[in-house]
Amino acid sequence: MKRGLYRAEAVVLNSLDYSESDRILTFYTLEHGKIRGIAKGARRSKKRFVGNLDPTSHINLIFFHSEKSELMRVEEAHLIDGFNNLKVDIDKLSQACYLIELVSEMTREGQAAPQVLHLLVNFLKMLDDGGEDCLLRFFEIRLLAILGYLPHLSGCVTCRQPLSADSKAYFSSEKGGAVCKKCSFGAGSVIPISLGTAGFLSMAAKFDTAKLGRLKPNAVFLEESERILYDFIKHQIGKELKTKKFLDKMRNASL
Amino acid sequence: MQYAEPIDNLIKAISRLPGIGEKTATRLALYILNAKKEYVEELAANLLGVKEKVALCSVCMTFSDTDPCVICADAGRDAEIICVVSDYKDMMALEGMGGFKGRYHILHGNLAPLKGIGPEELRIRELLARIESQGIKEVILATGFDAEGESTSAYLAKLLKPYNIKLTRLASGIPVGSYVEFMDGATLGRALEGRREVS
Repeated sequence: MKRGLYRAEAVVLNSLDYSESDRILTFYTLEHGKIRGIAKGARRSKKRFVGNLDPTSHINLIFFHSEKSELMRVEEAHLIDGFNNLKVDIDKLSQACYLIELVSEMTREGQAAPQVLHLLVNFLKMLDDGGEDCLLRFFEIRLLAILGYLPHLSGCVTCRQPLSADSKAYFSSEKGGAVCKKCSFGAGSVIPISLGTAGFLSMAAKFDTAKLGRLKPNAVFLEESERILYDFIKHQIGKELKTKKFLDKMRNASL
Repeated sequence: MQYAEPIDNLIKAISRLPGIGEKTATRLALYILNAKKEYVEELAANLLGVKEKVALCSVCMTFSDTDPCVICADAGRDAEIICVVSDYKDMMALEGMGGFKGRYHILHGNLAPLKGIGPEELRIRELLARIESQGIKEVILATGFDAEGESTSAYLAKLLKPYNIKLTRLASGIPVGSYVEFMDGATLGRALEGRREVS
C-alpha cells in the first residue's frame, strides 16, 4: 500500500488499550484483508469513535497509512451494524468473539480475501438475529474452505479409498482429513469420525450460506464436528483459542 | 557507556510500569538518585506499604487496609443496597460524587471472551453469597457501557433474577452539560429509550 488515506469496509477483530487513552485495533477489511491500526484518543473522546470500535462492530473505516509505521492511523469509523443484541447476551457475545478470534488467528496481514469479510458479517448477523449453536460449526468449515484448509473428508486421505460403513473411520489433524482404520495406525493422534459427520461437514462446506438453515444436523453430528474441527484448527494455528476456553467455561458454569 | 548497574536496574524496574517508556524511566531514576535520602526512604516504605497493608475487604472486595473496609463498617450507610462495579477506580469515581449512601461490590474486571476472562475469574461468587446471607433489597449494576461492561451486566441480571430483588442499571444517555444536536445516534437512542417522566 502507498502512503495515503484509505477507505475500507471492516469488522473489528480485537481492541487493546494502549498508553493513556489510545487503542490498538485489529480489523478484517474487505479491501486489504487483516490490518492493524491505532486509534488515538479513542478511550477519551466521547464524540469521535463512541462505541464504534468495539470488537464485532461492522464499520466503514477511514485510515491513514504510511510506510514508516506498521500500524495504520484510524481517522474515522462509521457504524454499519453494531450487532447490538450480541452485546446484551454473554452467550451470544462469546460465540461472536469466537468467530472473530478464529478469523484473526487463521488469516495473515497483507492477504485480502473478500469472502472472509462477507462470511463473517453474514454469520455475525445470523447470531445477532438469534441463530443456533450449529452456526459455529458452519462458520468453521466455511472459513477453512475459503482459506484453502478444507480437510479431506470424502475418503481416506492416505490410501484414497472411500470410507466404508462397516469399518471404523478416524480423523487425523496431522494428515489433514479422514483416514480409514488401516491407515490410522501411525497417523498420530486420531479422533473417531462417523460417516454421517463426514458427510455433513463436506456438505456444509459447499452449501449456500443463505440456505444453511435447511441443514438440520443432529446433536451427535454436531458434537463430533466440534471436536474434530477444533482439533484441526488447533493443529493449523498451533495454539488454543482463548474464546474457545471461554465458551467451555460458560458451558460448565451454566450446568 | 552504560549506566552503573544499580541505576540501570532501577530504570528497568520503573519502565515496567504502565505507560512509562525507557526515556521517562531514566528521568525518574535519575531524579530518585539525586533526591534527598528521606524522600527515597519514604517512597520505598510506601511502595512496600501498599503491598503489605492493603488487602481485599472480605465483604465488598475493595482494596482496604482494614477488614471490613471503611464503607462496609459504616453503620450510617444502607446495607440493603449494593452497587456492583467493575473495578476499584469505578468505585472511587462513584464515591467522589458523594451522593451514594449504599454499599459496593467490586468484581475486579468484566467478562471478556477475547481475553478469556470468565465468571470464575470475577468476584461473582462473593456477590451471590452476600445476596443470600445479608438481606439485600436492591442491586445497582454499574459496570461500563462498552460491550464487555454491558454483557457483564446482562449476565448478572440473568443470574440474579431468581433472587427476587430489585435490579437496576445505571442510566446511559446524554452527558450533563452537552447538547442534543452533537450526540451520535447510539447515545440518542439510549437517551430516548431511558427517558423518564418529569413532574
